[in-house]
Amino acid sequence: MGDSQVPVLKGVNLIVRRGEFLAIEGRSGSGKSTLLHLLAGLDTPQQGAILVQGEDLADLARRAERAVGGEQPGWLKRVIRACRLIFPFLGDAVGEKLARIRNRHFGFIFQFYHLLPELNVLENTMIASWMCTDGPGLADRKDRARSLLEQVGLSHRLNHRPSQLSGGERQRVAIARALVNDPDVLFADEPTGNLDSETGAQIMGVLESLHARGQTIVMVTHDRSIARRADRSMVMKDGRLQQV
Amino acid sequence: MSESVPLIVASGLVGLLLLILLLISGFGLYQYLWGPAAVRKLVRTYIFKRRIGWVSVIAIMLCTAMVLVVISVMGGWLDTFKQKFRGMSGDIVVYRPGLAGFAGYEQMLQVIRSDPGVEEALPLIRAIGLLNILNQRVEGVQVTGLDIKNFSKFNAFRESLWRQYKKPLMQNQTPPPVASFDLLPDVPYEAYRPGDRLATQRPGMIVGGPIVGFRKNEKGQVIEPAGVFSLWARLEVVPIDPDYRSFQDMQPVPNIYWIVDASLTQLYQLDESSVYVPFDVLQADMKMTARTVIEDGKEVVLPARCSEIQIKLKPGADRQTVIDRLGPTLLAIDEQFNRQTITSGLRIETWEKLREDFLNAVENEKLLVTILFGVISVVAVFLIFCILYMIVVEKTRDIGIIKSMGMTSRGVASVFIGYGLAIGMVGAFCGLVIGFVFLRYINEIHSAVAELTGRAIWDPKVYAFDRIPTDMDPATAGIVVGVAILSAVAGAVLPAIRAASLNPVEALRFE
Repeated sequence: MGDSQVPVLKGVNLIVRRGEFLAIEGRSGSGKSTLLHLLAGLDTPQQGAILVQGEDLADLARRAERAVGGEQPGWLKRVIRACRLIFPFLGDAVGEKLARIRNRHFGFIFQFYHLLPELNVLENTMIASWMCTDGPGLADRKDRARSLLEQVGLSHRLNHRPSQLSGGERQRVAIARALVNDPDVLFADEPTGNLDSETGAQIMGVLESLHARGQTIVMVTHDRSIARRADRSMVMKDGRLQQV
Repeated sequence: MSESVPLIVASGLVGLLLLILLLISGFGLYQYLWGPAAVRKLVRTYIFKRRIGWVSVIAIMLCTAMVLVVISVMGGWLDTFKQKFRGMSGDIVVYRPGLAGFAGYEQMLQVIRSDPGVEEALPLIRAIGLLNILNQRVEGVQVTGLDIKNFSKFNAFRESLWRQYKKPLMQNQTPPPVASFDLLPDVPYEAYRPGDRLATQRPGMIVGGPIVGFRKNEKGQVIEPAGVFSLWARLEVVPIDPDYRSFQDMQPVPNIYWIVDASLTQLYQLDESSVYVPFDVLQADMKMTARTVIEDGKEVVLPARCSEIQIKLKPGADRQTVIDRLGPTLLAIDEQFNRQTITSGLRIETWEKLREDFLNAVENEKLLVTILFGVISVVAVFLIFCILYMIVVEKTRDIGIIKSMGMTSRGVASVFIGYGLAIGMVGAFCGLVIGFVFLRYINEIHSAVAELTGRAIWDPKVYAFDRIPTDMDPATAGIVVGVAILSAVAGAVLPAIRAASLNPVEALRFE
């Protein structure tokens, strides 16, 4: 109740190897999405470590939270956070490092696609690349986004809005978006959960072809048949991870 | 000192607030120009695709235009008053309160004209009179007696004259170098006053335009009443004795004049009640010339009097220095000539000091109205706050998406700060344009509204000028535009902080 803490994950120990396609299967509420969010640096674990190429994401996330007044009372926390956000000279180096890792090293596919409704297909695909201040120029990024959309069979839909697409097409845009910065790891949260079985199978085909080209993928799903298509499958039950 | 402490504290707080908003705006602009492309793209997306934001743009636009119009009209009003007062006056005025004027002015003029800082000094007579035009119109007027040839070199009075200055200019002719009361050569004056053997010897009079029916048409062009410069007028003035205590023993003195010109100073209240006549004629009628009277069986010479002396200084001469230099001598002359009169002593003042009460009242009114409209404009800040906050709440999941893709909290904040800044810049610029166009055509707009509604809002009898005066000072316009932009940023700050503070996972789960 209230601020009391409920442990979601218990004793999770997981290693994901480069080029691996890992599926984590579990019922609703088992903690699999929470695990995915922690692995992707979207959430902050209270304990433990998440090592990505030697960098502890868990420690970074905890430090980032403290930097914006994590331990302070409500009003003080807000003031500190506001000052850090508004005045560049106060800086938020840790939070920015964490965001940079999310942007450069990870791609994320959501169950409900989560495309921005005001942007067209090409713009939605490019959005993660717009967050980089270095690297290739905008023209090169646009070429890459076009090429990815071509790979997922949407080169004829570049100027369409998400509302003009089917569920499968939206999820393919989301996959292209997740790949735009050539991430080390692709996280997929129930990528077929909102699709019919035929479209779901098409999406899995896209993921498998990506994996075949060496893409590391971590997917969570409640569907055993989908999980079985991965290299390795694990089951999450009551916050504990078990090998199948 | 203690009274000014709250003012200093309030000014300091406002200054600090503006400085913080300026820093925040700078941050938003920096992020928009040199930050991640996502900031630019999202700001543009919100501007062009979130139409609710346009309501904020319209609010800022209207507030900017409103404040600019108010400041410019009030400023124009004040400046026109100053110009007109200045144009009809010298740099320094020497006068003595009361209706009787003062003696010794010729001696004073000698002293004044010998001062190295003085270019010219002229005496004036001011009186109250009853004007009767053709026995058809009778009204009370303020009469000024002046040496018009010198007076017209002295200030802008000549430029207010319709027949001698404004009309020739409109017809591409050169106006005469000095104004005059001379009768018109092509008017058969005898025919207009049959039986008056002195008809052609009557003096000329200049009247305020409204007195003889001058008006402007819808296009703002002056309409000259037909035959106005062949009218005669009888002016009756009441000579005032220096020791006056009652009107009881005073006999009005009539004189016949020919109306030779009309003065259109644009100060309506001045024009509707002023007439100008030759100095020596009025001085004689007012019995202010030097004369000999018998007092206690002895002949006593009473010196000539005038109502005031107007002084024009040489370029660069300091008014107060000249006043300080002339003051003691003029007061000594006053003491010598006017010791026995009941009015209080001689005054030597700058023209601003003379009009100080009125000008300060207008200046304070301008400040008050500007503050009031500025406070009303705070509504726009709350409107922007509400709209941006609504957008942030509505876009919570989108914010979660872009954060999950690696947008920093600062990046998210800068999107909304940039959005507020863009709203402010677009709104303030449009407001500036609308304000400028409105002010440029304010009199035409006023005429059109008056035509439509049948009611003129700007009544020259109330507001003094026959046209609505405006003065858009670029520096003031810049400040108004700057404050409008900062106000929009102020409205965006809290929504931006809320957006940036969102946890990506919680935002993604937002229903």
